[in-house]
Amino acid sequence: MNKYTILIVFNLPFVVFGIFSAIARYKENSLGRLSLLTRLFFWTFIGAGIIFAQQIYNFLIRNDLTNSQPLSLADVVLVTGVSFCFFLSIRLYSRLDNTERKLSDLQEKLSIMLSDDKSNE
Amino acid sequence: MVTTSPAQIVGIVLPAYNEGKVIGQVLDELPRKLTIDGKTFEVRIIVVNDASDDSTVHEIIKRRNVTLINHILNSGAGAATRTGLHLAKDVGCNYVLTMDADGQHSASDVRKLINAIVKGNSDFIIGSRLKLQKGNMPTVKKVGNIGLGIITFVLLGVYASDTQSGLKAMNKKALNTISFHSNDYAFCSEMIWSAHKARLRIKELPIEAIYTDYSLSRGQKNITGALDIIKQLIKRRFLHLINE
Repeated sequence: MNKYTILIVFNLPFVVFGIFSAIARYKENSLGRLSLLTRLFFWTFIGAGIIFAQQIYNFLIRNDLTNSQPLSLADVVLVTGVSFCFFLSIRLYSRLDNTERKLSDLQEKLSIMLSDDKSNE
Repeated sequence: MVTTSPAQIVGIVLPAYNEGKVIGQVLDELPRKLTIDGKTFEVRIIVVNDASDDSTVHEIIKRRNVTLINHILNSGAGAATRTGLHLAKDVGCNYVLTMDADGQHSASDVRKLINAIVKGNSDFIIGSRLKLQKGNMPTVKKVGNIGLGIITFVLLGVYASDTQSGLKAMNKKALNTISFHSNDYAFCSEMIWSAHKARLRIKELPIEAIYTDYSLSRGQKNITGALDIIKQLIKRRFLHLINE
């Protein structure tokens, strides 16, 4: 199988999953329009880079903008790892943020409840 | 039949962490009742003790007409302010003022901001320590605050001369609209950003900054404090882009 095809096969699922999870969260109203557009732009950008990797490489070589070697299998593994890290970091960052918010919310409500309005009147 | 409408409530929210030395005096100087343009306002003082380990709680419970909320975990000035605002909303405050508990603000400035917000020309008022020459803010803090104002403008697109001021006043509309997620001092900028996004009428009023040896030893450390705020603002901006 062509190395560029392998690149697409291994990486595109992350992109597709990233796009679908953003749309799903938007539909659940847990993501705003701006965040949806940012995520869609981000994943589309990565997806385009993966799908058109060969054309981009050829373009760069033709215009003497790079002198790197053509894609190797090691590169495919590396790029897959980077895509996975992107995917994971966005997911973890938003989960961490949501957890922090829930924890703050819990502390807020609990403190108010426990204070039971002890106004020293 | 003559009906009298119930007095409107002005909430004063003070986040406090280890302010035992001064909080008693700060609370004593705050008004418990106000009359503005012939209307009487009941003042509700809400102190959020952010898990202090000194005599803060002891000093608060000695005072009358003060509502004390104890945070179980030390969470930061932003989180404590949010808890205070939450209670102010629950008890039906018509206007809310937030202020520092370290004695940095004068009681006359508190009255000035309450007066201004009650008059109704703005929804959210920031007490700016940089708009008044009076006061003894150290130069390094002045420069830091100007810098943070510029960074807030670059990152969040809203400018205020003193984004880090703890003295702010808001009406009910602002109280119900403004939301922020920062737990530490970055909440000051985030509150202004939230008010700006909600298209609230924001105004700045000059206030005096009273710095004592005590207040200088408290609060944000100059450079590390400013860097922390910048880090938090970048994080907030990024999360706003991907997770809100």
